[in-house]
Amino acid sequence: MTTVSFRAFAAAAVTALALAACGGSTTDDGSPTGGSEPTGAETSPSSADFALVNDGTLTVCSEVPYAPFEMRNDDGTYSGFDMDLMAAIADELGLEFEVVESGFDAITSGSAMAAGDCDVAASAITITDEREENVDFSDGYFDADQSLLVPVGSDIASADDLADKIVGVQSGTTGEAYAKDNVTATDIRSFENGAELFVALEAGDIDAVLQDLPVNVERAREDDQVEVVQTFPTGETYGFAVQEEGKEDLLDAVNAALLALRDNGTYDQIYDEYFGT
Amino acid sequence: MKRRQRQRLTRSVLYGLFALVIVGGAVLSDWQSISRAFLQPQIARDMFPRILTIAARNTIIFTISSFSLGLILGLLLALMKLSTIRPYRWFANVYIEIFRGLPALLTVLLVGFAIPIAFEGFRWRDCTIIPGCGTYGAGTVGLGIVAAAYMAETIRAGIEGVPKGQMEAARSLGMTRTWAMASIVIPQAFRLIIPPLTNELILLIKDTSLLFVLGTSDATRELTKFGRDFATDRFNGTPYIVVGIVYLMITIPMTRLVALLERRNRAAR
Repeated sequence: MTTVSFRAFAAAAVTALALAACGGSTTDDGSPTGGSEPTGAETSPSSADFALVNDGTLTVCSEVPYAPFEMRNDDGTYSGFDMDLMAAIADELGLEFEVVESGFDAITSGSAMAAGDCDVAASAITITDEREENVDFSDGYFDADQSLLVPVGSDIASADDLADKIVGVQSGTTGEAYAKDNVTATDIRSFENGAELFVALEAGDIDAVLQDLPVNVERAREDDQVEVVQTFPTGETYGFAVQEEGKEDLLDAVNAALLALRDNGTYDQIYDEYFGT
Repeated sequence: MKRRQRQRLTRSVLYGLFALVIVGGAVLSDWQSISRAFLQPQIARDMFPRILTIAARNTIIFTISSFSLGLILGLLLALMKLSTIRPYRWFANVYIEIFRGLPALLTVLLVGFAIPIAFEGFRWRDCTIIPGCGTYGAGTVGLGIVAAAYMAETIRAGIEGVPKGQMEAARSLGMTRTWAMASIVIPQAFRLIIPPLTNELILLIKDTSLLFVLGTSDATRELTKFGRDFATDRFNGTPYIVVGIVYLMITIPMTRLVALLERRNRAAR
């Protein structure tokens, strides 16, 4: 509340100053300010509507790396399905695109958005009812299908062979929820990130990895010691998350942009780049 | 008189500043946002009873087991460091330097994954004496190794803090060095080092939050991991606050208890 009233006050003060400046500008060399003001006036209405943390920029929180959804390039830029799609959305909205790396915790607890780190989170986040209570999601943009990854030569051919095995999953993911609901195993072990999951598989701490299909496929492509043996459709989708209050307009705009990108083929183009066979 | 007035003046200025910071912080904070993001009673209620029956319980199990291991290893290392045999001293020095220098997280990761990869056939999960034995085992060893490095130095200082006369008197009564050390010096040393050991214990309680890297199942999660999972499920920060309170509920009584022990000890001397 305090910040809001302060902002209102600041806005009022700025307006007053601007009016005063306009009134008395005849004597001043007003050409540079006069030149810059129209452009400022042009961008500010849309930015104000979206309540962006940085005017003119769509600031996106993401936990990087999570190939092939979010990856950090050597030159400090970002790529990956989420990143490219979000950049295209920002482009569609006429905004600059900026990534803020955050922990998945900060994103999924909503604190990254609440703290004003970013406008929207794009981090392969599955839309769930529980999460929907505390943040708002965009329309789904990716099917969160799951898959089972095992070492080559393992006696596991499908989820039915897991009864006396230990399955590794990533904390807070659809894979974890899916495994807990649908898989009978000795134990389901949750790991913080992909790196530990795969090291644990190598250390024999777990027998199989159940997680997002594209992530497992990417892993199997890089490492010929492991293979994907089964795929599970879950009917769930990933969504972009925004703070519950104050970002309604931004959310609508993101959904509209998403639709436009699907219509004009940009979505398919990005999809093929990362998941095309 | 003048000096006292000046003292009183500076003190009231300091108090005033202090109050201003607190009141200012409270007034300027966006309470609506804070309570929405961190203080939702329903989410806090949903955390019970598992936060106590699983999470707090595991934090305590990990703490006690790794503290015990650390204490035994630490005592051994302290004695090696005080030994007249040079290789013992070298070993103890190298051990302490390495494990005091490495981040605990790294040590835990190495114990959990590098050992099984290095030794074919050894897997933590093969320990099945109690449910979750593998995770408890790897966690205990990982944290115990780190704790031992710190405790060794504390215990050594404690042993050196016992007056030499104690050992000399014991020897003159015909006790062997070992016997005198075990029955006369070490017990007195421990009385001296209760405060620093408590410190170590509290550090360990907090270090158990690193064990998530080993992978957790529902039943082996400690407090921090439990809170993070809950926050992830609900997209809300309330669990962090609740978990923080539970940590304090464990650590504060403990420091109070030790302060009491310490006072008694002092009275007994």
